[in-house]
Amino acid sequence: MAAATVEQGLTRVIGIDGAEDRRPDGLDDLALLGIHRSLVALRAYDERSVVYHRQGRIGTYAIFHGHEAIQAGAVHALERRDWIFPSYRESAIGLLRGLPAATILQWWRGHPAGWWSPDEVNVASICVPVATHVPHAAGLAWGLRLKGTDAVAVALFGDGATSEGAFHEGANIAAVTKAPLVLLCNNNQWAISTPLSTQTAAATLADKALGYGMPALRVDGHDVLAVLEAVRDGVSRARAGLGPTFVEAVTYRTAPHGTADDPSLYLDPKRVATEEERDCVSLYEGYLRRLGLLDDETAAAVREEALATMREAIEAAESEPLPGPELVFEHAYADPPATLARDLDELRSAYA
Amino acid sequence: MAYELKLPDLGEGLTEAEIARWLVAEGDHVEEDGPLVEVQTDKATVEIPSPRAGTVLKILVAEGDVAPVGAVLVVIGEVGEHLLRAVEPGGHPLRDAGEPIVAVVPDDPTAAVRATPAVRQLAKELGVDLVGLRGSGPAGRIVEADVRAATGRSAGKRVPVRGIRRAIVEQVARTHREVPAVTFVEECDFTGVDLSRLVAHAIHASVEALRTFPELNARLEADEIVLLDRIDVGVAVQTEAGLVVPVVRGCERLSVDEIAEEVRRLADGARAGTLSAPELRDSTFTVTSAGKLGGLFVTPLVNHPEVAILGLHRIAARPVVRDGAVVVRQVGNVSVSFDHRVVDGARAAAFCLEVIERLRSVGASST
Repeated sequence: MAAATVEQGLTRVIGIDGAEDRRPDGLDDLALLGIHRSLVALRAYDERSVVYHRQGRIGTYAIFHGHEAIQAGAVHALERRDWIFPSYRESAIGLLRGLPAATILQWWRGHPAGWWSPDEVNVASICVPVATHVPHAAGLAWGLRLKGTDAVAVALFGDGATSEGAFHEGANIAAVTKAPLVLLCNNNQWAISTPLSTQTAAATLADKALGYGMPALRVDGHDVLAVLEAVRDGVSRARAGLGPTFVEAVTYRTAPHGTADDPSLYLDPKRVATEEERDCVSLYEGYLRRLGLLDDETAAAVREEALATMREAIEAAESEPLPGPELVFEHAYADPPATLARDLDELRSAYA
Repeated sequence: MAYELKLPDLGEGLTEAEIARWLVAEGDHVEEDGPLVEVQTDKATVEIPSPRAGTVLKILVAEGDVAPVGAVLVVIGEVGEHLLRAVEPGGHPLRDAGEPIVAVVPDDPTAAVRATPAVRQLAKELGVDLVGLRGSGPAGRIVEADVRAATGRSAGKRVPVRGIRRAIVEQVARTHREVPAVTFVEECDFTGVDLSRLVAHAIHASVEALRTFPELNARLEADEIVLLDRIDVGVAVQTEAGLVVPVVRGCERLSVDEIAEEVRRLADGARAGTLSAPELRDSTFTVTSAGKLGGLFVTPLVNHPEVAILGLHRIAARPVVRDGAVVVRQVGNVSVSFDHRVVDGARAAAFCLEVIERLRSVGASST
């Protein structure tokens, strides 16, 4: 392992470079294995989605390879009543809340079956504009507090989002209102092809939290348990009425930004190889093996189950009839004007 | 049931892509998710894994061809199945959704083709495969004219234009179309110049001269001439795959030795095919040297969007007059081809003469 590029000083639970493994409080063997299944489910979703995109079975897709630990760590730190606000990088996080994989595949297919009702799973819709969901999450969290519940919200976003105005507005109002919110930043050090060094002059993204008057934690984003602990700390503060917490999970994007991106134009292949050596799924599997909780057979079975879920999901998604073109005319007017009706007729004849 | 793989939008709103390489041939068995084809878009080259296991029945778009998004690239079916009738790579993506445009029959597929015995005989004589041919006769029947039309291709070995050759085709055609180029030539006395370092010396001399003639290190953008801050010099390198132009960056800061070392590295990389895309683009000026194959004089093309290219032509011992006497010197032509929209002839000439004087003095100072 090339220790030089692995950032020192980040909070870790899983031991690297000879450090001891720790065991977070309150996680029994079953809970640890549940986290593993979540990681593998996300990994399988991501791997298969890239293939499905290449085959023309889903549209443009934002790859999250290597970032599964941030998503699984966050969800496993939450209770079912807590809310999740994903960006496009966390499109499949709803899987961990029981959303069918087919539903999320349909979202990437642009099919209306890919829409879900957020309050059924407490997962907000996938946010494609960068950082616009941060104020949404802040507002919902504030609302939870005003309603007197002890539920909290987590918003997930990338390093690039911290440069956006919406991030500033959301973080600021969350802090001012003591909204029960965890701002979970996946700092993978690339905003498409813009490196962190030209994204911000701040030494760390966690430093930004100081200006909003909220505490910040910096953890190794490859380490699912470190993310879980940090988010859990933030959730505890939020439930206690102490307001938002910023968590910076430091990773590195080894995969393309999305299916239309060619990262060989800007990523250093040596760095990619180094980061892949401590891939979050294999890192966690190593931890479970050292605890005696995982062997080859179980690992293979968990993976096969996840892949089987994906096979069934893409079949289900593809067998769903396509919506008619009139769909794009719905939802805007209660009484559509005559011009719109004519447009619809014209469109229908083009399809006929 | 046959499966038609249509070219997906592999980018975000791309309209077409080039088939870079087929990884299977017709008749091959392919596994689900097995490698099928490499496709090159404006953004990246990606491999399409097969959505189905089966036999490759028909490849509809050849390597090097550009297909629109939605075009059927390949039909995959079962062993023993054949295409019954024509598959158009194009088609109407809205109307065709969910509607198969091929049928599949077992055994002899020509039996299912609609054509008279005379047309079948003609097709056999002319070597035309009736399967997959579109008939213009009644009920899609293939008629004599269809068969004759199908042979309307030039005889000879066909080499697909792809990869570097495709890039050359586009680049050279664009230059020829857009750049009204003029070439200035003068001879240079190279006696004493270490010819193994000729390109490095020529780059260095050009960079020095470009400080006085910045309009040769420029580009034309809409109604503005941009005098570029950087001097990144492209070096034309002949490789087995074709001509490539790797770029020596930041030449204004480099010594002759540093330029020579970088030229060597880039030339080796170009021939080995190991250079990355950024090493092959965004040059601001180009130097081309054809060495012994240079001839007395060739006419280099400006490397669009640059506005000038320096050419080094064959250098040989020639009789010249010095101080009233005929002496033998190492002499060769140096040329500047320039975009006459941006650069005036007198300025280009003065630039070339300055480069020549600098090259001459390199030789003179070493003898």
